[in-house]
Amino acid sequence: MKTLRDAGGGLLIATIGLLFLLGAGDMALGDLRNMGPGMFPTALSVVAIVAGLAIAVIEVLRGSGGAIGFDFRALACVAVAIALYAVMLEAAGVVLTTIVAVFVLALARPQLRAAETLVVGIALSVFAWAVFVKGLGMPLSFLPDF
Amino acid sequence: MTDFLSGFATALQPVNLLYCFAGVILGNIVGVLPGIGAIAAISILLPLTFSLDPTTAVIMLAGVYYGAEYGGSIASILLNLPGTASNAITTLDGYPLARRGEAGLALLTAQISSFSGGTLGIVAMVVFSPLIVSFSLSFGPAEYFATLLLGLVAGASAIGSGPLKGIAMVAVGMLFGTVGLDLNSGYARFDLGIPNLLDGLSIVAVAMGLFGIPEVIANISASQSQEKPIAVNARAMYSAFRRLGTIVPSVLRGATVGGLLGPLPGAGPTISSFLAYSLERSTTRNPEEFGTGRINGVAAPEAANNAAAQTAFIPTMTLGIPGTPTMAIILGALMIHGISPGPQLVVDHPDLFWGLVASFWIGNVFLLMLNIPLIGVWARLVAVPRRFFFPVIVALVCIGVFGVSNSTFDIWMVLLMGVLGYVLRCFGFPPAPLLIGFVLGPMVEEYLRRALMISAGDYSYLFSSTTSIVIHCLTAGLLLWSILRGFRKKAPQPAG
Repeated sequence: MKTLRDAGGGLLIATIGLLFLLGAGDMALGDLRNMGPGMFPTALSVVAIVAGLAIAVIEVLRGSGGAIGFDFRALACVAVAIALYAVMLEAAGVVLTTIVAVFVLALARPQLRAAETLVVGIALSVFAWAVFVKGLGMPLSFLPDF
Repeated sequence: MTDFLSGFATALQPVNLLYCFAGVILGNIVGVLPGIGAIAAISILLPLTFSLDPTTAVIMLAGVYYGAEYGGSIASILLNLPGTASNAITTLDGYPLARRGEAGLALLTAQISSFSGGTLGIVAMVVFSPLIVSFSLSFGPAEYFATLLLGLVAGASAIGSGPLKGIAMVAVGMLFGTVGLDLNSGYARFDLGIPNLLDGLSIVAVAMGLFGIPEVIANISASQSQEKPIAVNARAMYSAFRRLGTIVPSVLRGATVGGLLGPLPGAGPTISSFLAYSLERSTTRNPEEFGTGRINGVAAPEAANNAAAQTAFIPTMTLGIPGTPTMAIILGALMIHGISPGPQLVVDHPDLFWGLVASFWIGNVFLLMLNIPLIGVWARLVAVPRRFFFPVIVALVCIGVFGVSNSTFDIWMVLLMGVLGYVLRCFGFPPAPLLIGFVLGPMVEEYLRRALMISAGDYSYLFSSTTSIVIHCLTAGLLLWSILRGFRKKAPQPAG
């Protein structure tokens, strides 16, 4: 388990490389004198895989301890808040989306200050609506459409 | 010189003046606030500039960048917390000065040095840009490929965490850059059947995800230090004016270091400020006084980082090669507006280039006039609880990126990049090389393939001119140096 944690960063890089290598599988490679669309992605994937594995081995030998300061709760709250914007923004409008997202973000902290969060949410949604919808003319509504 | 003066005609247009002002104030504020850097601010602002004229857009984004160098010293001096990485060294002498009750002197020194350094950097830009342009107009694909390769290697090796991690991140960034239609063959690469991916990943989504979101995640649950900033008395600051004579040589040395290092790919303001400080310490007869509150220890790094912030624009604008991630985003902003930076930019859009340079100086004057009377106000900003900023950043990022293409697809992209950026950050992988690879990667591929097409596949064409051989030698030297540096066990090292 500890070994896996030390190697995590390098393995992540290698995995990204592997995904791109698989994706590049059906592209024409061409040759070095006349490169096809697949040459660059394939070469880069190999570099990423080799570098990732090398980093993983070095970190395990060094016992680097893996991720520092990883905060799953904060990561989850921010990720959910962004996902809420992606899902809700067009249908539910700026106000509702922003207030819900602000509450989700507030959950990342140990204690929830409900009243303060609501005030921040309302003020922020009015501000965002004024800047983006009124100011920049984005096709978003203020309140839910339905 | 006449070009530079004619640039003022562009920069002094009311709309440009207004956005320059808005940019430098905003930059100053994000500079003051520790934890929110210029790069996050610029990527968040990027969508807001799409409706602007390209000149106005770049004037504002650039203002945020150099404005942050001014603001960053305020938090360094009053709180012992660097507002941005390039102000970190200013804490060494700035904070002891403030503790001794000489905060006014330290702040005034920082502001005057910033202004002088910035001004000297602009002078260097006015003098050298036309020379580089006239030299690089003769560049063919081979020379461009060589220069871009230098930029990539510099981007990978400038970071503190070893060349291997840098290479890995550059490779991943370049892979992200290959997504979309291949220009040479028309083949859709990695599009996964999603039409949004045909144009490639949006630089706005990648930059915001990599720099904005991890910043929020990493700071959201961290408890803010309760330390109160040291109070400043405006009158004490004015009385400090007569003590400034002694900093002139330090400012000149600092600005020279910064001006020279600024244009180098990967060096930038942070490394400049560290080098200027150590140079300052080595030129004095009593180096042990440094770190106890000497104004020269504030003046040199502040002059250096501001000079570097200005000269960093030289390669970005004249060659189209960004040396730092911030420059990569500004380059991206220009490309979104349909302008590709490079020697042709200075020739075809002189109003844009010289207007931008002129706006730098106007922005520097704004900052100086603004900061000296208002330093007390900025200092109070540091005490605003950080938890209010995070919802604002997330909202600006999500709604802003939606506006780029009026589709929620890019919000999902921000989510993916943000999570990836945060996890990689926790494992000690810095995001800057990834972004540099993402921006430069497609250009490297294009120029390499074009060069090989011209030479019918003959690789010796890449080494056929003195210019490209010299540049390749520099690249090899840099690579070698960074590998050797990795073997030497490092002493405490600046976070690059």
